Amino acid sequence: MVSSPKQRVVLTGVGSLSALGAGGFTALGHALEAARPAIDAVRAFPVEGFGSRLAGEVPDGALADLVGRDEARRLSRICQLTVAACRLALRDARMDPGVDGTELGLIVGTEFGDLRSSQEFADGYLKKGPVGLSAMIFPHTVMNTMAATAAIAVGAKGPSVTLNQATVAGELAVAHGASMVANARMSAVLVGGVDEICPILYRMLSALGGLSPMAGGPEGCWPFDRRHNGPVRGEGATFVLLETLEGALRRGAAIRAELRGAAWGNSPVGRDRAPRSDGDASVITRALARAGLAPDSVGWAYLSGTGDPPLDDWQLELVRRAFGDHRPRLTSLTPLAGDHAGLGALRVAAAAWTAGTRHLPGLPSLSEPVRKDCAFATGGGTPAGEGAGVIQGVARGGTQVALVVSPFDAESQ
Amino acid sequence: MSRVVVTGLGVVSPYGVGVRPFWEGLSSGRCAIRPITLFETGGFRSRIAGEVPAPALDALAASRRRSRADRFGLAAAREAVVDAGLSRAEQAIAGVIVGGVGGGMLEAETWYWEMARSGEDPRRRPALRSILPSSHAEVVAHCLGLGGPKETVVMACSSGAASVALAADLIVDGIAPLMLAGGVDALTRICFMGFNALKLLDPDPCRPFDRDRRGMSLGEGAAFIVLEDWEHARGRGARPYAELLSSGLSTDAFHVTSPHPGADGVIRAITDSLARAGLPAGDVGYVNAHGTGTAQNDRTEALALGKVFGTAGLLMSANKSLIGHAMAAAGALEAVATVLTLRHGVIPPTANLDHPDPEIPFDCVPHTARPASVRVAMSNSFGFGGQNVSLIFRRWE
Repeated sequence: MVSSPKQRVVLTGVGSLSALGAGGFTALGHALEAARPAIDAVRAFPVEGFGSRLAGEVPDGALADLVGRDEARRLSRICQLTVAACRLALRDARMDPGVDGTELGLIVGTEFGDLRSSQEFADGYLKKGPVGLSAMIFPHTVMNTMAATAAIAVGAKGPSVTLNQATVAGELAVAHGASMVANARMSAVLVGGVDEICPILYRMLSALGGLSPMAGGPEGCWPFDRRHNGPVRGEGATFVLLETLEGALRRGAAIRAELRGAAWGNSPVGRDRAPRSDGDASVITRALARAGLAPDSVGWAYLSGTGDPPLDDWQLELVRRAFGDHRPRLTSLTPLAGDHAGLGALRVAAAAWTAGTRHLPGLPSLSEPVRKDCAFATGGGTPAGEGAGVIQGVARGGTQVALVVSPFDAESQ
Repeated sequence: MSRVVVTGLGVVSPYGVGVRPFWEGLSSGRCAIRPITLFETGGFRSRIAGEVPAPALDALAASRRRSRADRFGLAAAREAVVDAGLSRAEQAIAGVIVGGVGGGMLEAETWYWEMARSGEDPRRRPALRSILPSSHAEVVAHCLGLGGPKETVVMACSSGAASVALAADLIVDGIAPLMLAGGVDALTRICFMGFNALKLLDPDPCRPFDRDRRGMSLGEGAAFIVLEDWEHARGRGARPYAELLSSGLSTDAFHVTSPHPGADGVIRAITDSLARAGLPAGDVGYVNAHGTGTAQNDRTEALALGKVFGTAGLLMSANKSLIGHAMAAAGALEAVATVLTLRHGVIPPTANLDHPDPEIPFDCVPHTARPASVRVAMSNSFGFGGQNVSLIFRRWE
């Protein structure tokens, strides 16, 4: 195999549908500036008896202008979310894959896929036997259905890869896509994630104790706060377009930020556990090394910060180990939109926005931090420190991902 | 420039647990497609599959509390790691990519069936913890202490092959020196019912490339390959089975279940893999075909191979005629079979091929294995969503 020369990777488009609303880079910036938590009681279905009642849902009607009538009829909701976000990202980047599309890849991260269709398909059999089975629904039971329908919708004919992973599926998709572009396997890749809230998923997570309040008490999303007692679920799709710097410059694209480095790895523990403080900080360190940056050049970080206590604790320990006495300003978007696979790319898009505006949305309800030796962005937000930003995600089972984003420096071409 | 070599293999298949029974089964041409015993099949057109035999599963050391699929995955991964002779320290730097589709759905279905029928939550909730495909990678990485990148790739029936391709890329890009790549899938009711609903299953064991083929047969299992940077392998004194020369991945972007009629995406995957390997088409001596036995798939694959290779001299066969279509595991099982074909100089046959389709003008090695000194071989895998993967292996000399 031949390894191609390294390419610089830039972010040129954003498409997002989440509890924060729908739109491209500018719309997302407005939502981050407002920093208004969009978590509320579940509207889409009754949650009595589930033990939890909160979620960050995509606003009703958000899909209306983004998918055609035929697509709305044929595609499941999660596929519609994916198609819409991919279209928004390409529109935001002013890119048309055209008839060729062979140089456009697609990487979709998801934690749960299209569980709603699996349930609907099974129900057909349970109600009517073999004649109740729908050949139309069956393909949606396979988790790559979102990638398949989005690739068709936008004409992406390069590799279309679906990555299934708890908590950090979106970050993994971005990391893998960045590697694909950096190593010249693709000129451009749409990367991101998607999940949706549906009754069967909410019931499962609630039954397994995977939602706030995990150990009783009030329900809420409080990452890094002493009140943290589990994640609040969100939903939506966010995709960003990554492309080679050369390609972006050639077509005159607006470059939102540069993705300088990525690293991902594993601290092997059981699937349902978070590693303790003996975890490995080298993922952040490796990402910075790939970016050619020292730890003290990082001014701020978007963390996955789900509010799951053992994960929050592990994550802060990893951050402290990677940065030592240097204290980048830390934040998390889960209190705004709820935890879902779309959030990984949303964090990357937000980091691009922070790189340009030097504004960091805060943790709106942080009152008593679990660690005193970390610097958190609080309230509606704070000025971001100088320098580059890090996006770090951690998951139960020990997966970690780190990405490094900086403003694009035209002088350094 | 990195060379990626194969230094370990592990398999759970309808022939049982282990690479040896797998190869003996394939090379003997013995079809392992039998009546399904795992769940009720009454009222369906097809009631057969390549099922992993119960005694083989019972003999596995993995905990019985794990899902059937996780047990397959862990057994195959363990065998591959032992076969490669990896130390604990080497495992600690190894990454893992697993192709999955069904995850622990078989057990979750039992939970849901019971809940739907009784109206009450049966509280057999551990089944839900392993419902997702990512469960396989979590279990394998935890039990084997793998500290490198850990990923689960879902690309329908090309998932297993895609895991091999993506893992090799991570080695070439310098992200990990050592990767465990494979695919895992167990039979599930949803998969069985879905392919029945699509009328894509043959009531009899499938007959890829046969004039009278009527669809595919399902299967299950797991396979893992240890992929390694050649310098790393040489440094620890490992002896490779084969070299993974390249891969090609493409998407049809045409239809969710039907392949592109002109085989556009398949041709791109094949030609990209050849270009990345720097090989002319004529150097490929054998193709381990996707070969499902459906009218459309076999025709599309033959169209693509004809356009790229011509028809003269190319040998091709379909493992699915012997073990069924193991979904996410299929591409990994067939990658192992391709490596063993190069190693042993024997091409496993296409079973049940009584009347070769005149529209598929290749030598498909019917019924009986054939000795052949093949130097370079290709393994093809295609999936729903028009997801195409081609892998090219070279005999280690």
